[in-house]
Amino acid sequence: MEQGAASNLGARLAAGEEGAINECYSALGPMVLGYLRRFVTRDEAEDVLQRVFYEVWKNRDRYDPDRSLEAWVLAIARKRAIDRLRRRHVNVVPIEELRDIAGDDGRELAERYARASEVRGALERLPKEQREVLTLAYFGELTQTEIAERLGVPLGTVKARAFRGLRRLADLLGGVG
Amino acid sequence: MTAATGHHPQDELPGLLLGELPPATAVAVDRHLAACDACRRDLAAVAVASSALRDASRLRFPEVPSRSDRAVLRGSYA
Repeated sequence: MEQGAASNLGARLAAGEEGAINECYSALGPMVLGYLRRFVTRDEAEDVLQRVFYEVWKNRDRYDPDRSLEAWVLAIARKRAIDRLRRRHVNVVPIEELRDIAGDDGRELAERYARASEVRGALERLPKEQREVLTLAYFGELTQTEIAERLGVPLGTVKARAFRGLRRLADLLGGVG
Repeated sequence: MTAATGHHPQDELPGLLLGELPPATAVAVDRHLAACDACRRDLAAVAVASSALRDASRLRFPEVPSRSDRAVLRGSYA
């Protein structure tokens, strides 16, 4: 897409012009899909893609037409891809069976969920860069080298963010230290 | 340089827990840990957080809003 056309489309989107989101989807969809595929599977990427453009439309008043439309859309895409990774892990054991394992009252299971919920809450409180690296490492199961490649930052930066993030998370969770 | 007074390899601790360090680095970090109380405390803290994250990643949380979002989307341009 030409720069002029892109900025014009961005302005029309920001103005809430009907049809702008469809044009935006046609113009940027393939590029965003390619970007999402760096983080998630094709099926997931297609699903996330829908969500990204829904958000683009919903939050169009937050878009500043003086800034790059592509960069703004990709920032949303990156956030949603990471959300998806965080939710990806499916416990293959049906919940009823888990209850059997956990005991009749399911107390242990409830505790595990409560703890997991606390951990996710603490993760949300970390600075974005640290949260991103930890999410990709633990929920996306990427190695630190893979994370560095996907985020386009040096490996040393990933390592430093992982350490600071875990250290802070430990404090938030009331752990050692 | 002695292990206890040299550079503290804190940034390598997550990689150590995740088993991602090259063997030579892991050995050097281990050696440092044996002599450095501060880094051992850091390791204990990040190990707690690392194991909490690992547990949390194994439990599925329902993704409530996406279904309705998808329905809205189908109506708009899908």
